[in-house]
Amino acid sequence: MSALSNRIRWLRFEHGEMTQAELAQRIGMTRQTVAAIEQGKYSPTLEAAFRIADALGEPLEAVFQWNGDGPSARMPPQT
Amino acid sequence: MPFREKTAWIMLLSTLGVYGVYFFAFGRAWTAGHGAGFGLFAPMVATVVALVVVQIVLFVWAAALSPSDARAPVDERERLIDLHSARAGFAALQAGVFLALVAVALGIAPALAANVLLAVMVAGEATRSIWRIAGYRLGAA
Repeated sequence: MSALSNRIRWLRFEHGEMTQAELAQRIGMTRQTVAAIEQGKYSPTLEAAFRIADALGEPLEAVFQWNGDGPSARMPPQT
Repeated sequence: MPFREKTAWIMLLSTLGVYGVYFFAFGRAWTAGHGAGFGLFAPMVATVVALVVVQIVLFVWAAALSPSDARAPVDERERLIDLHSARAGFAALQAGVFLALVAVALGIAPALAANVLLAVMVAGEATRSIWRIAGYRLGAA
């Protein structure tokens, strides 16, 4: 499992219960890839991550979180 | 099952099935002492033609079951899975070719050597398909 977690499923729910297929169509990916990203089985490229955040109308850091133990994980979120 | 995973299964099963028939026939001829006269060209061409026909029919059938999936462009995860599987298939091919060369150096019959090389190519293709299926099942992270 990746150290990258995400809130895509929750954010889809908040955006009018957007389906995986709808999100996939908006970002030019397959539904299976969206499902794999949601489940943490696949870490998207930076470009795809930005496209997902854009489709959900959220900043990148609201969609993806890094759970590693490096400096970026210790950094408090900006307000 | 997603369309692209289905195509990987089709590649794997059709390759193993069609070449399985070919190698079974060759094996029977070889053990009966007619291996050298089995005729490499005609059976191999017939096998390739049969494989192409089987795969076209099955791909069309799979695409008809999920036309939108079949039309969807390949995305980054699928490209990554393809790259990983191509690398695994090539590694299997390299190892097999090395073993086949050792067998040739040991002096196996030309007809057997040709079929060993063909089996190596089939094993490489099967490895690639297995890796693709694993990639689709387990993710490509």
